[in-house]
Amino acid sequence: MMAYCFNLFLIIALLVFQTSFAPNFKLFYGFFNLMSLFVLYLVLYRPHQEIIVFILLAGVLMDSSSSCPFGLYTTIYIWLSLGIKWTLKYLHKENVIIIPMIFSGVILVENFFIMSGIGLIDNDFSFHPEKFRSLIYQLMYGVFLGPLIILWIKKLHAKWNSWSFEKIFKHFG
Amino acid sequence: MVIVVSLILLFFFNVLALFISGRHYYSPQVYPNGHSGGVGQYFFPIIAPFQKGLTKTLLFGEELWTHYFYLVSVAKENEELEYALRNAIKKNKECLETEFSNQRLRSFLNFQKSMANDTIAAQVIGRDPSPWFKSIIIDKGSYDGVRKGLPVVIPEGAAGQVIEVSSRYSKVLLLIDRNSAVDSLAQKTRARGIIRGSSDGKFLFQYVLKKYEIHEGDTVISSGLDGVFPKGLTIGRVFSVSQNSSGMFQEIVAIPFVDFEKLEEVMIVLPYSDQEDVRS
Repeated sequence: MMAYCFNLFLIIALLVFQTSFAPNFKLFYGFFNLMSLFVLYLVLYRPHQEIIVFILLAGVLMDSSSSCPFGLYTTIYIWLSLGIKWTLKYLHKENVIIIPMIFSGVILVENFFIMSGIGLIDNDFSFHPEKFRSLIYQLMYGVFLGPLIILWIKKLHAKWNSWSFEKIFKHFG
Repeated sequence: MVIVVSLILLFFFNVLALFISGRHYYSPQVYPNGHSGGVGQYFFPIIAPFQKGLTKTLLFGEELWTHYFYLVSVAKENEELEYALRNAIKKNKECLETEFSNQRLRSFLNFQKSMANDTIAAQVIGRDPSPWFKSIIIDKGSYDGVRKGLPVVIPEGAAGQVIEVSSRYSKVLLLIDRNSAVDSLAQKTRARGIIRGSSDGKFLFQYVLKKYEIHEGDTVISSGLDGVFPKGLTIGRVFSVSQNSSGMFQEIVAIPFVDFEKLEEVMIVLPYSDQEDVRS
């Protein structure tokens, strides 16, 4: 129950940060999609039932907040989670180099899916250099900051789990 | 083998569903209660209150910074402002004179005063989480009179169109999004075409016949023929023109007048039929 509350809180916090806070600062230009990082975190460290519920929720909320065709992000997250699960069969996830590598792959696959989705409904679609620059920024941010944020989420989750409803009620009298 | 076949079937079903969803999403159908009918309208209002809260907090922080922490430089600034005020008073007198002569000329030419549409002011509380799509969330919905398809403008010109409406919030597709299209005119030559968004934040002014002479710097305005945007709204300035040897149309790129990165407040333009309802 506490884990579900944590994930819900985290999804909302990440989405609000990405849509209402980050666009006000130039520092975050080309920042990677935080929700895909959350998907990676779920697949790496959370049990199956949590992954399914929160991947669907993350996808639906992203689809609703964006002007993309409804279902695009849900589709991306489902296929990404399957792909990451399959990749982890052959890789040791505790290795330092693995998480940045997988996250770079996640960023590339996500952008590829979006381009395919756009191409599906727009015949005039072409890959503009501006988007290429944005992709490079995403990869750079992702390789350096992605693993750190995942570690931070992991620690935060452990801290959250150490609490319980009894402790909270006791604290507030 | 069964898993591979299932995955292939799932993939094809997935592509088909996305294709149908993509076609349905931008259809102009509006339901009687003013809502847009898509599944998305039930979910983005979940995030919107938090976005609104954060936006208000940021604005409060900005105000606090501007009003209290800059007091050190206020004394110096005061002197500069007094000087600026004297200049402004002088300019104001000149402007008043210009305004009077303007009024005289208007009455001389017997210009008919045109009735402007009513508008609803809204604050931008969230932006598109994806860099591939360009939309914003605003803090006005069907309770305030907003409906799917209404045009969104700011003083600099046309900004976008409402694509999804919930009771308190709405989603606006910006003109720089690739799915956006506005029937437009080159102001000088009256050449007609379609303004579309592109990946780099500029506009493509498409379907302009080669017989029209379009120059860099020409202004593009809305034609009003699409039934969405009122006629005469400024949209952009022509950036480049190229005429390929083949084809009937010119390739024109325009730069938007609106700075879409800095949108904070917008106005939703109501059609004439709605104005009485909102007033009542």
